[in-house]
Amino acid sequence: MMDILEIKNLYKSYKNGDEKLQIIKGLDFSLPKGKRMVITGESGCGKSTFLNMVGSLDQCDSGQIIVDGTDITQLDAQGLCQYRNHTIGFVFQFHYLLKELTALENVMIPAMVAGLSRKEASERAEELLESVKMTHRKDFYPSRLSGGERQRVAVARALVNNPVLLLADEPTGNLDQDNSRLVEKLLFQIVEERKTSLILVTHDPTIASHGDIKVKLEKGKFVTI
Amino acid sequence: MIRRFSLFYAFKTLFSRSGSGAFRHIRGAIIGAAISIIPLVVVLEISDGMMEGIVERYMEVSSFHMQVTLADSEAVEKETELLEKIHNIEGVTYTFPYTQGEGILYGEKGRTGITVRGIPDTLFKEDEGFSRFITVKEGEFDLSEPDSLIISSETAQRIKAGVGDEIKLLTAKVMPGRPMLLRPTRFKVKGIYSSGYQELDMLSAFITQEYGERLFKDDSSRMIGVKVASPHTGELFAIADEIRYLSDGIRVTTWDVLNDSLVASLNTTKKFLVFIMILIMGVASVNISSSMIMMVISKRQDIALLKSAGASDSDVSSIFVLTGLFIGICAAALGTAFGIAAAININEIIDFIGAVLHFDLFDADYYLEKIPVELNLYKLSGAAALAVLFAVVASWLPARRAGRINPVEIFRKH
Repeated sequence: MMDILEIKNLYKSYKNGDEKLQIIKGLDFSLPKGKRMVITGESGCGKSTFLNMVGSLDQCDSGQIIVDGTDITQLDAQGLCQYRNHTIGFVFQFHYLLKELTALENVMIPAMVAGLSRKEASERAEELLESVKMTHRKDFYPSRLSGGERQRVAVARALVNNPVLLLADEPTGNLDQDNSRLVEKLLFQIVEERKTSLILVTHDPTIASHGDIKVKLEKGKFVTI
Repeated sequence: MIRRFSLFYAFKTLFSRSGSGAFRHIRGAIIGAAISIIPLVVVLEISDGMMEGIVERYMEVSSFHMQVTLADSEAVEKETELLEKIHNIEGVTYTFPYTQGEGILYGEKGRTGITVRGIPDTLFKEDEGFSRFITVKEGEFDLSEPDSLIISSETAQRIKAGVGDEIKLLTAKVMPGRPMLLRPTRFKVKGIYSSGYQELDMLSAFITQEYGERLFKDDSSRMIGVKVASPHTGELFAIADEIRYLSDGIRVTTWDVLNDSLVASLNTTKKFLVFIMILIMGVASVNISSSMIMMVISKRQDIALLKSAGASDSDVSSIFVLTGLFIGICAAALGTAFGIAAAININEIIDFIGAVLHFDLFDADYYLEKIPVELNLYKLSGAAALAVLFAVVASWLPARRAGRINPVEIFRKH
């Protein structure tokens, strides 16, 4: 099976005054296409940093991040924008829905960034909202949606451009238990249906148990659990 | 290049019905920028109107459209023939002989230097341009008696003279090889007039043409005044050239040359005022910059999200430039509308302020009694375009900063 993600000798550090904090230390790893990978680990161990690097929001010190055959560390600014728009989708712990836009318009945004017309983006967004069972709330502004509903819209937004890799950073971290289960169920169901690969960062052992590959980030390296 | 997505998001952000639209951030900037445009619009409209009002008065009452100076005795002898020939030129609407000289008017309680013009009695009745700007305040514009004198209300006030008063005009007679001879002549004030521009009024008095010819006998004091149909077009110069061919002993001077220093002075004043008003607009655009900075700060999370969804730096920047453009268009529309309204009602506004503060806002000695307003759509469009440009330039720096926001720093802080 072809790998959707290959990490080769990845290093990442942060400067804290004169001190250098080595977060990722020579990480080598690969994720086969269509697999669901769950990353756990202590707070501050570098889970989100790893996800941000794979999502090209953050830069590594050295190493390679090859996503769907492209080494994203070699891409220029325009290439990175296209990569973020076409290849990956982000779901954050906080929904980050744009409060001036309705649920439907929020889902349309990445499609419009990709250059789709308003009509095409709207059709695609409606389809996704149906998948997350939010069609009935499509014209609602985020302020009128519950926490779980907002995160379902955020999931739909992340998937609107049919990314090959979905990056989810504690997507249920801000939700109560019932909503957590609902979002978790939807997320795994959708990636299964769409054959989308998933990297999910979580502290929730229940969610972690659903991963095909389960790792713990410890001392800058993955430990299989 | 501005993409459809940026336009969509900018519009949605400004006019969202969610109750959290960004319009509230820029409302103050729009009002501030609109207010800053009003003085420029008013200055543009009023300065043009005032300039036209002043120059028109000089053209119709003092310099006339064209002055034909009869520079030698041969030309003076042919005056009647020249008058007829000039009158027959196409485009000439009115011609009249007159004399011009300098003198000192002595009243009971004062004196003043003055330019005296000896004009035909018929001028006031026949020349529409002349009578349009001459308002008789007291008495009549009557030069039927040889000793008639018409003075301006400004002159009357200076020498404390009224209708019916006898006053002296002291003129100088220069003869070659002899000392200058001062000659006092008695006149009777028949009328007091105002042209509406006191700086012009304080310089002019009118006597009969016959008496003028007697008082001012030297070369260059005999003239023919010419009025044409289109004094502001090239036709004026074509007519002037045609007149020059009529005789060698004449000098033809058009109104633009005669009033050259006046027009230049008014133009300089106008340019200076416009420059100051543009500076005010520039200062006001700092307010737009501040509002845009506040908007960018309040939208940092949204910007981070858009970037994580693939929006480029320029996509994000263009959202804020579009917002700046919107501010500029709204401010230009509002400012221009209020500016036009203020300019149209400027006389009432000045009167009102004067009445409230109990003093004249503008000294009538130096300004027209009523300020004329001239709507120039071309210039108004220029002012509006400048306002839009200022707004876009003012929003450019915050927009650029917005484009450079690093999403990961925002997500980390959150």
